[in-house]
Amino acid sequence: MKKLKFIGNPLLQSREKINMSSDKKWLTLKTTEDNEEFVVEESVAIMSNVIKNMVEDGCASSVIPVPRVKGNAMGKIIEFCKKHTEESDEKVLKEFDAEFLNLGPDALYDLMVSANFLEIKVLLDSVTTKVADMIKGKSSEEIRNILKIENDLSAEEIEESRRENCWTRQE
Amino acid sequence: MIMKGAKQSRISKQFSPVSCDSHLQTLRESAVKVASSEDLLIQILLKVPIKALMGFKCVSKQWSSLITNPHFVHLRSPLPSASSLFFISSTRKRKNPDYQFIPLDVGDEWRTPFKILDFIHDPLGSGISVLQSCNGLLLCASFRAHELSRRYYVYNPTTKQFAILPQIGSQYAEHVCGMNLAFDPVRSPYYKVVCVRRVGNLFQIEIYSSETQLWRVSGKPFTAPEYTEFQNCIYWNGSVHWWSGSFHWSNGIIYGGHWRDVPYTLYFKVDEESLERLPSPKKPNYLVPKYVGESEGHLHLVEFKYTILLDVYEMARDYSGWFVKYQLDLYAISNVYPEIIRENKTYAYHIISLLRKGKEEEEDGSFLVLEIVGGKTVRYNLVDKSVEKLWEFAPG
Repeated sequence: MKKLKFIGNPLLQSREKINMSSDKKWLTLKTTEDNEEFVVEESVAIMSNVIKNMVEDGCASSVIPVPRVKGNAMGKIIEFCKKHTEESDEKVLKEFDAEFLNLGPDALYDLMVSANFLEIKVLLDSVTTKVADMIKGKSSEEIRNILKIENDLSAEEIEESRRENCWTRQE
Repeated sequence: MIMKGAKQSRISKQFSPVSCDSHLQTLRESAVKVASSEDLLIQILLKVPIKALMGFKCVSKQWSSLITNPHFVHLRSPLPSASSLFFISSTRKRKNPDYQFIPLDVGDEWRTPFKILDFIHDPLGSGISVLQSCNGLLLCASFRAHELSRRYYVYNPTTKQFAILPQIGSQYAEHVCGMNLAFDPVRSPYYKVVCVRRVGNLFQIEIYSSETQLWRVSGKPFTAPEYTEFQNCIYWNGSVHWWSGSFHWSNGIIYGGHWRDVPYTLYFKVDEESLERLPSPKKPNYLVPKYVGESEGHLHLVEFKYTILLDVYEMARDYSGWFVKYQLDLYAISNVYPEIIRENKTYAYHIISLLRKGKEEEEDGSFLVLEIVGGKTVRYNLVDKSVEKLWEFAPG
């Protein structure tokens, strides 16, 4: 039996091994709704918990199909994840987020739904905070328009609610 | 080591299509889930300030039910740390007492939750006063009404919601010794009210649950140490604790000219519905404690060691015993406020509250709030013994 010979520092050797095995990996994400393909670094893609799980379980060999997310939303998401992987300065990231989220309500809504679906916590937190800020000053009617909600309350229910909450409007 | 493990799993799963399919299945299922988007809605609404939220009940049925759902309310409001007290201005002049809030924490954001309790239309002029506050909920009663027609309410000053408690049963109304609110949002979004009523020489407990909205008798009649005050309780660790003697607003000493030994006091474990005995820290215990109270999940008791030095005990969470946590050195206070010493060399003060401040890794900034002669309210830091004035009551 050959005796295993370690050359140099055994710890260093195993670290080298790790570096060699995790060369920059690239993944292809394909939005199934509009068949757009995006080639991204694995380190960026795994900001999505859903994709991360797939990678860790060895299912991300070729192209990952992503349902429900549209091409332009996917593009924006990748842009976000890339910036957050590359940049570590909190201040810079904050400025980037503010600029990035300067979107119309429709685009914001799409982004939010996609971030939730792909389980990207950082993005979801930023978007939900932005949406909360947007709606807090609005009336119920305006909110229904922005978030595409059907008004299913009867006239009496609305009146009762208004009466209960009249103190909020006075203050 | 980690690398090795990952490699192994990759090899085994590459050739089993099942787990890849299950991921794709999850993706498909998530698509359906997102369509209902209630989770998303919750995440957004959690970030909207309460005032705005109240107006949003008009948006849709789903929004309305979500905002009023007790679990959602619980998610929104983690246990509040009581850093302000309120005082009644005057009960005689007005129908409804006027409330003033005093910030106990210097530098705290100063917000007045309410000035007058007018959440309910009060045609009889019976006035509504606060009996007890428990983790953000208030137990109120129409204090001027006769016992038979007295109503009790549970009020949430943050959401302005209130509930009228059903009456306990007219044959018992005149024998009610105490009503206590038990609410811990961490344990349950529902609250309970513990009522103690006299049955001859004994006492009986009835419990109301906001989940069932009914009163129900609990356990058999029991005896209690003399002078147990059932109307003043301290809710801590899931139990309602009662003490003997009116220590709250007095220097609490002698009853009827005799020293009374109080070896234990009672507490009632609300969920288990069992009555237990809490031993006093000192034996024999002739004095009613100077203060008992709860703060930030700790139960404290203050008793004399010597005339100018008091021990602040804390009860172990498993009820194994009291241990001395801090001390109150009256000498430190008399240095700043010499008027605290009376002519007969006794000290004129009483302890209003003890507030724990500072979590595990933070600096301990716990303090006592005392009222001393001259209507001054001062803050005594239990760690560095510094004293500062919080408030001074105007005469009258």
